[in-house]
Amino acid sequence: MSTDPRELILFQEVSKFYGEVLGINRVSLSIPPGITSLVGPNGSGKSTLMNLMTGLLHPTVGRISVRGTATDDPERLHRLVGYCAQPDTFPPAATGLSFVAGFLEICGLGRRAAQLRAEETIDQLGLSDAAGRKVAAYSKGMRQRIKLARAIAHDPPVLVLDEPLNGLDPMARAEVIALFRRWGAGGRHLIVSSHILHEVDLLSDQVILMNQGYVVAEGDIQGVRGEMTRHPLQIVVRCADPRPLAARLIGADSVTDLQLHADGGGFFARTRDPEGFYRLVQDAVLQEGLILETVMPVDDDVGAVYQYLIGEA
Amino acid sequence: MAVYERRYEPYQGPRRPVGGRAWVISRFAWDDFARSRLFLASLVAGAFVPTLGLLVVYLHHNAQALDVLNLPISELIRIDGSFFYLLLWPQHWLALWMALVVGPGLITRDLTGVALPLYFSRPLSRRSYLFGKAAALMALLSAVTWLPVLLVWLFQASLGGRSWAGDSLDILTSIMVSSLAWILLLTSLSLAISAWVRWTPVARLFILGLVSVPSAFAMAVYGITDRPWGLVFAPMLLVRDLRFSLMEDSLSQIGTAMRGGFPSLSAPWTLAALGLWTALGFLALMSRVKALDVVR
Repeated sequence: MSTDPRELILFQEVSKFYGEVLGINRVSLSIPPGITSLVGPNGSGKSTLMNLMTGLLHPTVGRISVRGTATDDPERLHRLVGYCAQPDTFPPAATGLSFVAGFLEICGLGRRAAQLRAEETIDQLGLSDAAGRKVAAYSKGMRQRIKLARAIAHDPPVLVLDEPLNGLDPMARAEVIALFRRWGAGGRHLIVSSHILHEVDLLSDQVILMNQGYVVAEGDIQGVRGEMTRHPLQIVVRCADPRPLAARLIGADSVTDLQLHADGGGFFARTRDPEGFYRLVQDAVLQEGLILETVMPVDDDVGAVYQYLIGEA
Repeated sequence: MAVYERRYEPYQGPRRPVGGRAWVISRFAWDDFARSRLFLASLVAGAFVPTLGLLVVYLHHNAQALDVLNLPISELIRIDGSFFYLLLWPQHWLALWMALVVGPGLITRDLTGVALPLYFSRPLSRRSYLFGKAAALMALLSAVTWLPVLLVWLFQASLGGRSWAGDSLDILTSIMVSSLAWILLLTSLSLAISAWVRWTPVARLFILGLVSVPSAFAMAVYGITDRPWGLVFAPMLLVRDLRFSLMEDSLSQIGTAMRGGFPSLSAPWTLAALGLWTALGFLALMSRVKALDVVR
């Protein structure tokens, strides 16, 4: 992973207090490019974190830099950052095109350049046909897409997206997720907050889990899950004759629990050492010539991690 | 770890200076004004009195037209300070009306819609944002106050000759200074109230109350103390006083009669008091407009 601060979003011991109310406390993060999801219950500090990295709030303590730029340098910062806020707010008379172009002009582009760039971006989001219509008459999904167009139009390397999938129908969600993947793979930072955990799973290269103003976990989700030794990983194994395999596994130190399925076609195991477990399974398969149908962890997704780290807190 | 290939292309072309970006905010505001029929009707109504003024000036310099109308010149109002006062006075009332129509929505809508993070996540400062909003309102108020009356003054100056223009510079000063002071005051108060009072009808009442109610207080102070200092609390009377005092030498009997027995401060004191009101309005505004409205 790059350690060049010009490629990272860095939080160094950052705290933000609203009077006596805690926003976030002593947060240190090093966020690489790619899609990073912020996950946590309401009031956990996700929005505070986003507002700090977009320069809308300033930290009470600590330092933040976004790709080498301090967040108290708005002129440079806002060229780097595209922000898609959650509320649907538009100038009442604005059309899709004038909305996106207007905000590009605020970024310093001339009128003609802003117009051309706005047209290109709107086209990229599949809204060309509606570009001349008033945003007030757009559907929820169209408004969400025009907000994304506004955030991406100046082609920033960092995109901060607050609940960007809200209100989108399944087709539009799939399209937007594909766009996010393309943008993320293009070397951008995409910071996404979402409550929809299975979409976070689909989307993210890494997650930041927050609770009560603290970062409770960060990294790629399998890595985070692997470090949660208090909660053994649950794995389902399905095969025609599971007993010999179960017999070999049950004596192993890494397996804490094993239950045969009622139909006799598999078993359910818990392990604190997934790698050791998989090695044992592999050895057994090779030595005994077993045919496995499925070996699948069932609680290594964001939902399960969220439940263990935050749901039980 | 994935290997990322940089595929985005940030804009590398020329950029307009920071100060110029505020006009985008003004443009959004103008587009918004144009949606109000009441506003458009007021704008059209604003042309009525100045058009009459232009007609009177034209008749003064066109004997043929007077003959056709069978109108002796002595029956036309004289073109002096009083004439311009009569033109300026309704226009200033109209400016108040227009500030009431469009002012309260200017910032309220952005605050209630949580739009400020949108603006301030761009390279746009609070000052630029407020300048953009204020410029939109000031341009509109200019269009119904000093601009049309100045046009009448220039028309008269072109027909009346250099000597008239030279002798009437105090009228020009009164038109410009009193109008600009009034515009600045209305802009700062209506934007400040728009930022603090979110319910538009109540915001309108507040604006109206702030500019008019203190007049009664000022008159009461005058009645009790026989001193004009109560005027400091009455911005509407201050502007009225400014209109009169700056063209005092050019007022005929009509103007003097209109001025009546109202108390009066000297022009520098009047300007200082109006400046204080305007500054207080802008301070109240700055304290309210923030990127995020944090509820503790």
